[in-house]
Amino acid sequence: MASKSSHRALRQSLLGFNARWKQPSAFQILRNNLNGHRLSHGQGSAVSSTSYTPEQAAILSAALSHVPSQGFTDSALLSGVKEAGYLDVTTNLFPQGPFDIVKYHLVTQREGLSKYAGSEEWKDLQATNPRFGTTSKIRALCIERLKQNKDVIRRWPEAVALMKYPTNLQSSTSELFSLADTMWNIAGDKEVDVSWYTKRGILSGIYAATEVYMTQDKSDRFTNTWAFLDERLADSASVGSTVGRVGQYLDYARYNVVNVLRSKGVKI
Amino acid sequence: MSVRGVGRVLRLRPTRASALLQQSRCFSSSGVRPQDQKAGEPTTHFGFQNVAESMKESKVRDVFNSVAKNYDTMNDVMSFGIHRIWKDQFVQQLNPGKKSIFSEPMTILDLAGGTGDIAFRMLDHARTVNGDPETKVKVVDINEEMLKEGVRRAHTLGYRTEGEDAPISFLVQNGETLEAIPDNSIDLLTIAFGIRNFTNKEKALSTAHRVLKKGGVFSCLEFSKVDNFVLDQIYRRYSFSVIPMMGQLIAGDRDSYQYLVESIIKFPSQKDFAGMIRDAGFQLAGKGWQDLTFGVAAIHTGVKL
Repeated sequence: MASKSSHRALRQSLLGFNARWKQPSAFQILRNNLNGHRLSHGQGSAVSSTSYTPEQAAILSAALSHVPSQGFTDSALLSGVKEAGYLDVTTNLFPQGPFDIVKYHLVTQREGLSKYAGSEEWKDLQATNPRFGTTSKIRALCIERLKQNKDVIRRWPEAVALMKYPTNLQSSTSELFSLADTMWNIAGDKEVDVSWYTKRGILSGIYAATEVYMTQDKSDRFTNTWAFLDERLADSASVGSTVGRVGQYLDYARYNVVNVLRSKGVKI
Repeated sequence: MSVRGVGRVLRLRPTRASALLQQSRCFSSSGVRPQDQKAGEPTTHFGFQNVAESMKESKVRDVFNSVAKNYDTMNDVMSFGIHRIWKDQFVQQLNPGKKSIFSEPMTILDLAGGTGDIAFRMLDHARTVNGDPETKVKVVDINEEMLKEGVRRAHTLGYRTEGEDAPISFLVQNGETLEAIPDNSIDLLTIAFGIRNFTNKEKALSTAHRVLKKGGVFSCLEFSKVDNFVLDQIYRRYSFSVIPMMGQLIAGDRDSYQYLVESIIKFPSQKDFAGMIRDAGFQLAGKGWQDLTFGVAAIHTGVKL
């Protein structure tokens, strides 16, 4: 309990008061950077508006509709630009080329998930299942999100290849992390302790693995994919508790060190 | 805090050094200076000097009149040939030329295009990469001497420059107004190492917005700010001591190259210039710019939608 409140105090000090310090030291900047993704994707700001202008969205969604036939390629982007009524040269609006289509899909579908959480369907699901716990919620959200890949799933390996480019890697992993964050927020996870990171990390891993499995899944309505997802979630239940225990151990070790130092007269 | 403070102090130093430089130059050319500024008229900067707005255009013209002949040699010497890589990269990324049989050939306007460095690359790219022999380039420059150099090169390369359907045409125009270019007529407007010399950059950007078609692209290659502190010091040292000297030795003209390096320092940072492009009504491509060689140069791109 004490550890939890100290975490909370630390987090508040990082999130709340930094903005007032006019000239943060290098150390504070470092801490802010370490904490950066919390600032942008933390529980308070889970639902962000799209970062695309209407024109960009029109072009990219048109391009996405050409992906099943043309793949995540420059030509799909060009078709999107033409369909939205612009010129060949307008593709220069997207310096990352086809990766911008991938990113658009990732961002819009993640935001779609937040909308789904406010929908009647989600409320019905909660109302009708008496034992609709956190794990069931996470499972339902993963399935809902994976279903949005259906149209482009045969082309998804191309998207994965683009996401793995060194220049794109940072933006695609942070997008994956945001997705896991969104899912945990919807599932109602309010814990702020060591597991904050491990939960999101593990869920990112599970989601990414299932997505890759899905590209090879030939079963009817992706039943094998859902089975694969269930297995991974079951695995993680044990992994999660192990990681939790490691966290507990580290907490214990930390207090031990602090107490030893105090006993030597260090004022902590 | 302390680290940043030191950085700030050090960063001031080249400016002081160059202020000294400027002072020393004042002695040599002090006879010209007082006439540059009429009382009450708004001023703009010409390198580190402040001159009346009406004077800048003619002063820039003088600079380029005197460097036209040696322009390309000097570029090679000053940048160790890197300017060729920048220009290649610039053109390759823009990927000019029609990309499908359902598309119209492009009309490209190369503003401040002078000797045609960008224009010939555009034509070449459209032809060899996109198989489009119809895409045309209009080279616009305020300076006739520079354009003459361009025409001469076009003829050497075997391009026609006269007539309606000429692949490349040369036109003397003020880039801030472009009177001879109709509204919504250009697919791609480029300006490489030119916008720095404009008296009124905002006006040039809004004119670019005017002449571009819906979906047209404005792209600008220009010297910019080096973001790495150490490299920036080296770069400043180099540009303030070596470049004017080479100008003297190779082109026999120190002042023009002194102006060149001063105008580079005066040019807004990547972020500020991207803001100016946005303010002119363009949508930025991505974050709006891409650094080349640690930010010594940068490509800014905006799209009219």
